[in-house]
Amino acid sequence: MNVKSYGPVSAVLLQVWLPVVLVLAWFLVSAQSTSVFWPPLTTILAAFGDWAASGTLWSSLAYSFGNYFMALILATVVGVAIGTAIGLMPRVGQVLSPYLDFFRTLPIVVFVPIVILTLGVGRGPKVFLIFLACVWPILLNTIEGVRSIQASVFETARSYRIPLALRIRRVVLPGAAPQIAIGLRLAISIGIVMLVVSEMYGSTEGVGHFILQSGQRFQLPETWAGTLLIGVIGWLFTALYMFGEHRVLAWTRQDAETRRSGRVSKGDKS
Amino acid sequence: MTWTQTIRASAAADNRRRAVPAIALWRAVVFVGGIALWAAISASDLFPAGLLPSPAAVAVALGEQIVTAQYWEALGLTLWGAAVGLAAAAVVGIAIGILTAASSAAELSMRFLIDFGRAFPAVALIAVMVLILGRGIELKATLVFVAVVFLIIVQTQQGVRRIPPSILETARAFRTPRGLLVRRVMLPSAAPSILTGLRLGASVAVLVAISTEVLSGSAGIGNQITDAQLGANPPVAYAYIVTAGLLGFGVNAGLERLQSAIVRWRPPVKGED
Amino acid sequence: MTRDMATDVALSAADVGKSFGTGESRVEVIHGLTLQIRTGDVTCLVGPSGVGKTTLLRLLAGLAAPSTGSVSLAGEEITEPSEKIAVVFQDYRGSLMPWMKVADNVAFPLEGRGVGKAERRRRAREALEVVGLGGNEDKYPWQLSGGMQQRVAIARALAYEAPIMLMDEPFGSLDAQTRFDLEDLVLRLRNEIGITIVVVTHDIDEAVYLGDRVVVLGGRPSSIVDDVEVPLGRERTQLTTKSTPTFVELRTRVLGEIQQNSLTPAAVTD
Repeated sequence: MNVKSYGPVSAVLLQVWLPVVLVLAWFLVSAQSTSVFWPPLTTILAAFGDWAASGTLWSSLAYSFGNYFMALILATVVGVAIGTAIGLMPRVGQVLSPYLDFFRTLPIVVFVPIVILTLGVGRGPKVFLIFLACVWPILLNTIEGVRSIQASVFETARSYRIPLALRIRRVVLPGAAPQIAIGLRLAISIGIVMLVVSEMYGSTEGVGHFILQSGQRFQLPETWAGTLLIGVIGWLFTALYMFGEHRVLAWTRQDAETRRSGRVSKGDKS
Repeated sequence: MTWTQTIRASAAADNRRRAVPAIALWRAVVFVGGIALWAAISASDLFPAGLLPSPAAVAVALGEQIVTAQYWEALGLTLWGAAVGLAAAAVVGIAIGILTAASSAAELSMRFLIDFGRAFPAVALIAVMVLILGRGIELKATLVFVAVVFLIIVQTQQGVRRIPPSILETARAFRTPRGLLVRRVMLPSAAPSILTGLRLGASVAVLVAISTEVLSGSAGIGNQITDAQLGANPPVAYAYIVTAGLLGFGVNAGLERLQSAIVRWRPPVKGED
Repeated sequence: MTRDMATDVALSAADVGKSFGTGESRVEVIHGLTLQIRTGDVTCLVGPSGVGKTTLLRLLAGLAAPSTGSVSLAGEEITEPSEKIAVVFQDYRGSLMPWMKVADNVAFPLEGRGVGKAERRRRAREALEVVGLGGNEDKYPWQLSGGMQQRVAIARALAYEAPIMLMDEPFGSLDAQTRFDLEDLVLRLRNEIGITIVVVTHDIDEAVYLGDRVVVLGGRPSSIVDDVEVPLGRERTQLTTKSTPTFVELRTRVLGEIQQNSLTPAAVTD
């Protein structure tokens, strides 16, 4: 296995060359295209430009992602709160576990028709659906995170009589943070999927709606523009999140590294 | 056993023994309580009519549906679409995963593509794909493929990277031919991660298949739900929702068991669960 | 040599017993143990592996409740961790919070008590100076060696300003030189501040070196096998004290008792 490591500059170049080449190839190959389904990349970009210039792009984005973030924040608050409570009560967790497992694998998308057809095409139902989809990974990973905190940490807090509120704030949540972060990362991508689905199923506004409408009107460049935009946004959110998570949870990696290397216990100056 | 081990073992055994009947009891209580709560909410005016039919109505609807051919056909179509997409994604994903994990240069080159692919909501492609591919199995399988392949690539890469270098060195020292190396050394070592990837991929596959059906009217469980709802028949819609839940649960549980059975020499790897 | 026996009793266990499990699998770890810790003493608890030293310490700390008998602090029974007792655990890595800086770790119990920020910082800094870690306030635990991390744990116990400190095999995972330095630190704490200290250890040399009194546990269920006064005075040094005849004699005696009461079948004599 060739696990050569590369210097920073070469590493960046290696990561960049293929995407750049592919995009260029796309330009070149599609420029000749006469197929309706695969319009030239330039046409797609032009459609995107029109969309942006007309202002509807921005209002669509505001609508879609306004809903998205509202739902995500709600899901985080609820998921972490309930997850922490369940995580701190292991018996409760044991009793509930098969039900939690069941709801974990239930595709929330099945509720889209019912919710939208009953509650309408407004913001509320969509926020509700995105919330429902995002809350599960956060909830379950919070439970896991709390459970993964070493018993000795809890015992220390108990021996020093740390009150519950402080314990949750300074011991439980930071201790569970790495696992909660994993749940949040999942929720971010699941949320975008649900955003798209709910808007495509029943909406009068938003990016998903735009994509659907363009498709129905057989406006392929616009449809592609919208689809690619969502793709880029999805990737951007995940990338930004990973970056942020990296900085905030720096302590977990360093801590884990020193534990692994066992460097600490031997012979250093005390 | 030492004294300490004795204490711990006895405390654990005791907890287990006392707990098993108690837990089962509590779980039954939660189940009954949950159904009761459901019935109460649906009977009340909390939600608009039709959002939450009563458990009794859903049970009846499920009973009625289960005996129809339509039900099993829908179930089969959803599973079939998911399976085809998953199989294709497995073949391509594992291959690419192994190839890229072998060389840092390859891995770095593909990294952006894979990250982008993973974060891309495959369902968004439905608007374009439905025009190109129609509403049949091809649509479902393609979207499932796009949604799952990147996940499998990443899991495979992780699995291959987990292989202790010493094993590879030994194989190389014995001048093992490439094919044999991959088949008998790399694949088995990477198997736990790969199998986890397949299991997670299966859940995503079912999810994407159902989403496709809901949005495109492609035949399957998702479509049944939409039809039922449009036909003002919420209990039937919920019957299929419950089916979808059981399907997801069953697929995951079944694969977990399969995974444990295949890789008996190592506990299942958690992956990005 | 006689000792002035008219000293206060800081902490006592009266006819204490502890069992785990119920019914057939019930295991009695400690039986009918009575022990009085004198104020200002360093008392060391030794015994063969698995005899229940840690269990006894946890009973004394209020972290576990005795099955029979009671534990009292200055005459009053305790059933939960007390403000007057600070515990230093064996595993510093499981006891210090890796997401908090050293100073925050040390000040955490005070935060739990509601002490103001400025005061907390002052006390934390003082405690760190006492243990010889002045200047390390803003480091994270993983940046320190094992010995230094254990010092942080001790500083935390000091900042708590409890008159009693219980230590559970505090230096077990450290190398010899570090251990000697920390043992001297413990003696200094007792001499300069007057804390009552109880140390659980499997290291007999350490027990005799540190203790004014060594309590030997043995048997199954365990009880006190011997209670030895250590007339080596308050000023001790690693070099000289450990080679005095008294030291050697006490050490041999304790070792003999432990070996006799070891729980492995091979060592049992009649």
